[in-house]
Amino acid sequence: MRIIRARPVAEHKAVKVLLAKLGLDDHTRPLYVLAQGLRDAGLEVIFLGTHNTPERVVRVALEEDVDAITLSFHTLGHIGWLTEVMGLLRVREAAERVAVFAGGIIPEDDWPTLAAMGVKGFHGPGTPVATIAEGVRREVERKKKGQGEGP
Amino acid sequence: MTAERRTIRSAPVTQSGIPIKVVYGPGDVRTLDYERDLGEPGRFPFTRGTYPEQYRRRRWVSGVPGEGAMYSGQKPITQLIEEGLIDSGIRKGADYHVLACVDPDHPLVKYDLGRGCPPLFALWNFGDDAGRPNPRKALRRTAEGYALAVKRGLVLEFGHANGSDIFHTTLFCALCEEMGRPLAEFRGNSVNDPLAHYIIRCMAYQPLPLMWKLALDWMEWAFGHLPKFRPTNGGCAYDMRESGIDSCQELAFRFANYIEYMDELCRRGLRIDEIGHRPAIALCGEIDFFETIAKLRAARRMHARIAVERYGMDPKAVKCPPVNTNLAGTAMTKQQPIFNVVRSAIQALASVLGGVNGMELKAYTEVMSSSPTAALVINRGIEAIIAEETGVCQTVDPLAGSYYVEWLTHRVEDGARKILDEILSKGGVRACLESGWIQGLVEEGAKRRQRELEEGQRVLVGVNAYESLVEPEIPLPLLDTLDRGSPEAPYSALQREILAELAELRVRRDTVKTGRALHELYRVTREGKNVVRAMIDAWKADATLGEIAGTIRMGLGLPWDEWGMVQKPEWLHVG
Repeated sequence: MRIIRARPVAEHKAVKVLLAKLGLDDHTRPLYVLAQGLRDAGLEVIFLGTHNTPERVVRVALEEDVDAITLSFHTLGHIGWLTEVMGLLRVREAAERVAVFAGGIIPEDDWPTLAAMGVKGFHGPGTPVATIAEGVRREVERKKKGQGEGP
Repeated sequence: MTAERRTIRSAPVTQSGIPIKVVYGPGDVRTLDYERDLGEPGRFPFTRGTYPEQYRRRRWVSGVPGEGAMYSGQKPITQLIEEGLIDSGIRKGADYHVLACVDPDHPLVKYDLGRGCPPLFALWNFGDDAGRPNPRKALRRTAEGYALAVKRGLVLEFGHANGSDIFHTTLFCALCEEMGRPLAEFRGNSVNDPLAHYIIRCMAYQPLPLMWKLALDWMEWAFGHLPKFRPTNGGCAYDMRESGIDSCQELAFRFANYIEYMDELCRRGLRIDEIGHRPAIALCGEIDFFETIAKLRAARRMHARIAVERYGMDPKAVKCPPVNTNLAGTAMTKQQPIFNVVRSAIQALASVLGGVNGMELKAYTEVMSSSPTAALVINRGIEAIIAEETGVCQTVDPLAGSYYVEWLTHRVEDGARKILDEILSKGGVRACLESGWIQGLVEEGAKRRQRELEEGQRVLVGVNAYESLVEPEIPLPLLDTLDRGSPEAPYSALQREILAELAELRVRRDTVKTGRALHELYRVTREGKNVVRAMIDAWKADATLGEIAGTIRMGLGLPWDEWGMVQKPEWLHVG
């Protein structure tokens, strides 16, 4: 709360982030810890839990007008899932507005492929929650600034 | 080195937060009574071991995970067996679609297909071994291996852990029958603990009453028909521990689940003196050396005391189950994987000093991928070195009488008993699940672990301390050949093959025969009878996993698909 109040009026709204797991991946523990941690760090968290389709993630993200989506993967299926999510965001013309982050087990070899799709950051095992919160906040602020300066 | 650099950074508590004194002495074990609290190995209360001669008689079963063998980066299982790398046991985990009880082409499976474990979905996958004309055999690398393991009588561990075990245990019973092997010779165990997964809230794919029925049906049937098979671990302590709880909670939850199952089986007419010792006690082998040893010793003692106190058995009639460990994956780091080899060795040594009868080591790649062959070789080497070079196996329970070990064994058991009593006083695990109390303990634990790491009370070398040791990374072979797809072709070649195999089976099988077997399964389910025999027959009629699950769901009055994404096949007349 303190952090939010300390902000300029124009940026009064807390950064809003959607957390979810796609498909049947059952490694949910990190996401629970992260949800709590991000909330404690002053972010507004929408927690979608497990067994989501890309369609549902994107629909809820747009309905809730989130700034960021954080998806966690432990199946090495991230390329296919993220291809779908990014594609749906582009179709809905929201790819510029919503920053997508990926966490969990994502081999570094795949980072360039995912970054080329528009994924903004990768949070692997051992990343402190504060680092993740800061990364999301920075990216969202950068986007907002970018949009403000645009035509 | 300065004095400060030689200071131990981690806090003087066990991994479970039990404060550790600088030194222990006779005063700490004043109340210890040898006959009452320890006894000879193989004798009540079994603190010192399940068997009188322990490793002099027989080494532990080495569990080897089979999932890496799906990929071209690892040798096929048949070769691993022929070369002796797999010589006593092999674990068959469950792929995500198996845990969820759906077919590989369910819309929630997609890119995760085969990412967990071999996605066996029908007897068809085994081809010739099951007498099926399957030219494709997409899962050849593992299916042939598991069939060979069955032929050789190796211990086959079904590590599903959420109660979906019954789908594959019955599939393998069908395989045995098609191969002409007597079911009485089928050796193995299944974790088969659905409660654990509602406790840790991570695999609640299907409603608990459904998974509860299936888990109990399998236990009931297997206790009666498979003398060499342990149909449940009584409680999947490993998964619960890895989700964040401490060692006392781990034991408490394990025995609380065990009691829940045993009570129900007794209600179904089975006898505790015949089945109470059959579920293995499978715990988590932690990096906290002494706490792991204490926990394993305390586990056997708890089993013995519960048999007497709760089930009224004569101490002389109590038998001790084998105690196994699955070594902690959460102890492993992505940073400097070679350190994980050291961690595995320490966990394994602790397990052996705690008297395990079976264990499965984690690969150094645990945080990144399934095991490459190199990890299997290293792990089998660790076990051989412990068995042959260290001398620790030559005498049973060599740490007995140590002031610290005996104090800690008592402390862990005492802590566990208090939590167990609390669970039972609240009406047992299912009541605690309903109120959400037990899930809350897991969540608190997970948060505590993360906080301890971030605040540095717990040190993970290379993660939150000693960062200078991780650069540069010492190279080790990784399972780097896994095809993860691309934005243009998001499915891997193996995934496409598996989906094609499923489509082909649906076209080539005799659906009249399949439908008849499924209808019988539907009838048995509706009548509230044990479903195992009808499930085996459905597999033999070439039904798929999703069809068997859907039929049982319909029999229980549920819709075909839990997520409403898949419809019942038109040719199937049930419901």
